[in-house]
Amino acid sequence: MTFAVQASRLSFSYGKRQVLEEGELTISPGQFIAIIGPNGGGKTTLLKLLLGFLRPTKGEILLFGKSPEKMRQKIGYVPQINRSDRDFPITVLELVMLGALWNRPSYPSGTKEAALYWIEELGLTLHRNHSFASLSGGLAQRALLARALISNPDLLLLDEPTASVDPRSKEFILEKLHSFRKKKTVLLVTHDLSMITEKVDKVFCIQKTITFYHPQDVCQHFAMGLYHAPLLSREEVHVQ
Amino acid sequence: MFNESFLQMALWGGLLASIASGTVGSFVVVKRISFLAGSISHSLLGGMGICLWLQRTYEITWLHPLIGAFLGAIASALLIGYVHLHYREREDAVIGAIWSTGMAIGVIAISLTPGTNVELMNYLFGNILWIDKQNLLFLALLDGGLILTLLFYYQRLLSLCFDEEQAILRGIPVRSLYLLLLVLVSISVVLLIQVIGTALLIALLTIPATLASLFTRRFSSLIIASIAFSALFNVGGLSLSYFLDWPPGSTIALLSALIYFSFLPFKNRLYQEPYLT
Repeated sequence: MTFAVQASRLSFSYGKRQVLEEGELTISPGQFIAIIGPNGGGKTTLLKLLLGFLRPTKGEILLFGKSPEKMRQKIGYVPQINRSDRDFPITVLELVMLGALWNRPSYPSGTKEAALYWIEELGLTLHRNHSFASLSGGLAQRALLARALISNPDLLLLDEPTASVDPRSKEFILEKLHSFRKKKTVLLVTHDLSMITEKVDKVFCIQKTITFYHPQDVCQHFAMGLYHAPLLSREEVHVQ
Repeated sequence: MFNESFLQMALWGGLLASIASGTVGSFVVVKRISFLAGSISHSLLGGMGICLWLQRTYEITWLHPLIGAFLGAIASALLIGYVHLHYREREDAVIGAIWSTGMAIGVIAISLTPGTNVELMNYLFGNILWIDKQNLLFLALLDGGLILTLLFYYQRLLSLCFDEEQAILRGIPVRSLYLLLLVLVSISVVLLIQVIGTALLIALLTIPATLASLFTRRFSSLIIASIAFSALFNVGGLSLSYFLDWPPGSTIALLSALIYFSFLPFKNRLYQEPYLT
């Protein structure tokens, strides 16, 4: 079987600072995965390794059996909202269309129609000609999601798409991502444990190493900020 | 006042330079590379000074200082681009060093050049009144090349400026494109030397686009508004300098800065509701 994501003995360091060490990760196609962990634990680094923006210092990553660099055209990526230039003069429609651009002077045919489809799907129709700068955090996040989806990716990587987002947009985004189960592989970096446990198939905790948890077991444990403690049993969590 | 032929030349020169400063300046502002553009515009003085020295010392008449400016600007752009792509940790310091090294070479070369050194002041602070028909042709040709290049690469440059990581995912060669952008900055810098001079041209490269960004929500509108503001500053500055008998380059820079500062108090209100689309 070809895994959507397969990482073995994955290590990465920024200079002398070891961020990931001997991590193991296997994700089947169509799974909805949450990636959690403390700040600075290596979640964004893992996404950058999967995107091929960083190269592992040790180990190997395969996406659908190929290297990340060869699979980039099949990846949709939603960066953290605070990493986007919110002053940039661009409308929502233009922004979404950029997701379909290739190394050509113009967009492929049908790009505008596809952009309008995803804009409607994500509830942005009224805002399609608004500037990206004028959108609220939740709407801006939806626009970035639409940009990632327009190229019909097999693997969707999202870096904290529900951070700085109002509860309604948060619910909307998670529902939309959940609707891609079985169709797309979705990796979602998040701190919103309470909202994801019923939706995701697996949870990986990144804290130098990669640990796999069942969603039901992990929710209360990590919601209590116990990243550094060993995993408690359900009974112990309830007692605390 | 524009009945006089030298002023007509200056007017046309200013308008042609506005196309370059408006288009390329828009990329400089949104990509936030004003410091890099400033470094290119100052360090090109090295190439300019060397050409002037060779021209006067060895009587190589065809070696116009603007050729040196062009070569110096391209060389410093590629060097700065290389530094940006490979030495990000110390990028600002290295670019500052390139800035001062180029200027130092230029000033030394001009001081060693036989004859009067009035050129130094004109290249540093510009003299739009010096523009002749040959300069206008040069400006028009470079403008044409700039526009054609931008039309061909517009979408990809937009992607590069907005989100480099997304551009990489879409298979866009961001490194080559970044160097291309810096080369385009160099070309427009050379176009602006005669209008406003190397020391002041960063004003025309950044202020029109920054001001235009207060009124626009699309990048294409930003470019058009930026060209319009640039033309306004050039024509307005030239007219003011004529009546006040002030140096034209400095007057253009001062006028553009004053207009920009006068809009700053309204920045937040305009930013919320841009009314040009």
